[in-house]
Amino acid sequence: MNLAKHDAETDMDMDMTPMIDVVFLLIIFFMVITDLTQQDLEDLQLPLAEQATPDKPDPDEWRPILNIPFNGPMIYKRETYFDPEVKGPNRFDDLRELLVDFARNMEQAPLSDSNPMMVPDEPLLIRADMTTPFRFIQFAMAQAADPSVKIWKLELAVSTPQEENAD
Amino acid sequence: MAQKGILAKIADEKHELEMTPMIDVTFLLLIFFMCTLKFKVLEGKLGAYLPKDVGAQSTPQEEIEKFKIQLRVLNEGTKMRFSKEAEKLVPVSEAQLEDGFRFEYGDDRRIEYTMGSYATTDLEEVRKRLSQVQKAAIAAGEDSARVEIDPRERTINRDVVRVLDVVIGEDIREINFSGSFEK
Repeated sequence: MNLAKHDAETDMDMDMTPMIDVVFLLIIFFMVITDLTQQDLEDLQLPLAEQATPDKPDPDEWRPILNIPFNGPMIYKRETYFDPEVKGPNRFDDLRELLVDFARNMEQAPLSDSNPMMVPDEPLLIRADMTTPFRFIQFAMAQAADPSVKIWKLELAVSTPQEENAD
Repeated sequence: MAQKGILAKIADEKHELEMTPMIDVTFLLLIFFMCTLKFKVLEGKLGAYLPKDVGAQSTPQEEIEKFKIQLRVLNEGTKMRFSKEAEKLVPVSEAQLEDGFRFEYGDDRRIEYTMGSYATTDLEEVRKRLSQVQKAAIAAGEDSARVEIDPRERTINRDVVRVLDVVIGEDIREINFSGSFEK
């Protein structure tokens, strides 16, 4: 019998399968969690439009998105910045601050050839449910156009006929 | 004897396929595709502009002539919600409305589009008028006609997007909105 070939201390194989499984699980878990925390698209039913241009954003690029569900709250990254149910003189402040912050992070361009004043030159995407009263969207627009914000480019999120057919 | 014993042992060993890693991998793939499918959202967007010079100009601007479309709700329509059981839209009860159910309006919703002295409930008429306006603007040497959408009380996002869709369909790029939140 050749015992040297079966040395219990040197012949031990480690089974890597469970470790790889666990590592993959952890990677996927953290991927999903990160995605959830950064999710800035609320679950809304968007109105249908034939002339819509497809929205294919770069996932790594920041962009300002304001979600407005059917009952009017204004949400950015799962946080409500304006609630129509809340009354009081300061109820617009959070939204205004958010829009000022959006404007600050946008690329700037001169107002016109004759006026060198810099204004934000990127669009604000408004994602409103198809049944959202338009006065809430008008309110968001009015806040965006405020002299302290000066966002003038807007995009309204819509669903395209292809999407409807796919459903 | 000892040699034979080992061979017999090997021959007697059961060769079973280890299923655990396969199940692990299957679950992993299942979870992965469930997650990625859920987050894949393809949407569209319509562009519009707000007055660019608000608060920036100290001198009054010359009023630019705009083609104004006013939206008024003639009939709000029946409030409906999607029923999973019936697989269609069904009217919402008062109790469900009080509970904050999301609803949409039925086909009986009517919107009146007023353009100057002309009013219609037919979007096709709006399209025809816009086409004329755009042609006139181009004939006058402009890039595009200027349109102002004025949604009045009780209009919803869908009503406005329908008009905006028609306006953009006529290749009109100068679109503004008017109105106020508190009306």
